Amino acid sequence: MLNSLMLLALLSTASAEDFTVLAEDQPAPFEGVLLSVPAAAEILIKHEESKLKCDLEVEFQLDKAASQCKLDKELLEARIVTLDQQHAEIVASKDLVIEKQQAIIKKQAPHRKWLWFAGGVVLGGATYYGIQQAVK
Amino acid sequence: MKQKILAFCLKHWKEIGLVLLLLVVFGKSQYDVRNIIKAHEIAEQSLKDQISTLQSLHTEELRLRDEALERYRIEIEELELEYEARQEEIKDLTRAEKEVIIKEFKQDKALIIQRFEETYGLRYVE
Repeated sequence: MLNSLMLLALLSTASAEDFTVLAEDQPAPFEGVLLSVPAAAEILIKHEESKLKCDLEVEFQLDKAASQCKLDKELLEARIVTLDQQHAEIVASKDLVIEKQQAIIKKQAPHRKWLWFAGGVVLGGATYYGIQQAVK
Repeated sequence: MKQKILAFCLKHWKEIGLVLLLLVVFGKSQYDVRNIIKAHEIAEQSLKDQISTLQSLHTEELRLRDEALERYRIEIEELELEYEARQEEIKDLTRAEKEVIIKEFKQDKALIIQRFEETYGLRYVE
């Protein structure tokens, strides 16, 4: 009877975050969950295990993200190099075409166009005059 | 003979002039067409060169891309292997630690009490 009263008193004073360690057949000081030693060890170790697994997962995901980032960087660098070379190549090629076509145009339209035109008019006039004189 | 030719030329000078003019126009147009064809050929050759260069640049880019992808694949493979190895390591460590805790309980209960207090912040009640 006395034991029961003491247990009840302890139960009423035990807070939500209390725990105790019991030997076999020993009365519990408050109502709660009794775990075997391996189960208690499991609970203790799970905490540490979760921490380690979490750290490992974070590290793994960070390493994976770093690898992905490195890959993206390398792909972009390759693209940039190619685009740079493409640009340089196209510009050089266009310059060459422009240069060659300008040379053709220059050949067709020589300098001093007005002199050529005046020469043509004078020559045409002279021919016409010559023919007229010859006909007379 | 010369007199006849001269007389013919004098008589038909307009027709002769027209024919000569046509010949000049024809010659000039041929020359122009030749130049246009030449310009076109230059443009065509330039485009061919561009295509060839772009193809080689594309091939080079693909090579670089493949190399980068291969490096990435190897890195991920190594990371996964390391991850699995460390997971196993954690499992082994956990198993060993569990044994230690069980042994500790048998030898010194104060240690397990201390562990509960430190790990979960619980209060020990006698």
